[in-house]
Amino acid sequence: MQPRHQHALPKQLTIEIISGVDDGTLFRLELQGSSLTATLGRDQENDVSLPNDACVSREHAVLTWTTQGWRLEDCQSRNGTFIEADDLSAPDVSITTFHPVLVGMPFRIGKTWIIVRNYA
Amino acid sequence: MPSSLRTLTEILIDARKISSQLNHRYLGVEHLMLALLRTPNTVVHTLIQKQSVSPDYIANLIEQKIGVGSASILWSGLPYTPRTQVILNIAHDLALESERCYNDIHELDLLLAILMEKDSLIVRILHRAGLDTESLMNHASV
Repeated sequence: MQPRHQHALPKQLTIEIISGVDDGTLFRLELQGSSLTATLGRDQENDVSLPNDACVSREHAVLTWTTQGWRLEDCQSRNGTFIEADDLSAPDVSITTFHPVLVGMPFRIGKTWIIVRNYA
Repeated sequence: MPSSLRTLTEILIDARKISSQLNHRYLGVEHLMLALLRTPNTVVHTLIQKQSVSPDYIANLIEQKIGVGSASILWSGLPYTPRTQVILNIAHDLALESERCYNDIHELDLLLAILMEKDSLIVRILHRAGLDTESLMNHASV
């Protein structure tokens, strides 16, 4: 039986940088296989490579496709991975395990704010 | 409302100072917006205050969201971000549409260009702070 909220497997994922030194940069990723992930970090080997943000760890975070959609997980980074608090003036909220990520929902690694722009 | 409009050159000088103070080592939309917000008695200041939102409140929110950069120096100078370059191009086009030259780009051109780039973190913050950006664009384009 299929899970109730299962989405079709995406083949493309577009990630946009919305602040920081790479603000305005788009990453269009082609997804392959059954393990659909996108890695984010300072190393060039990452799917989303942010070599210009010194606060980003080499392997900082990972986006993984699940039957419920995308989820964000911190890879024990030095400076953490964050989402916005409900209260705009409150500090950003650190992700301790993993967190669902919706299209257009900002999250931060290092000093860089990022959104999933779309997937298909 | 103040009679004179700040020029792009004046705003860029302030934006560079703000970027340096925050240890950012690049010139982003956030620094342009802070340069617009942190100078009192300007046209942009007055437009925002008319919406019953304090420019200082928004500036504080932006600074909290972007934080202070690290001490690491990865390059020389203060390069523009890709989105900053887009915004400066839009501001240039807006001035040309009004039959003004590059030297006559002013604060309202820049504000309009920033608001037209709706995906930036800055525009998201303005929305969440309660600013009606459509109304702001209408007033800025008059």
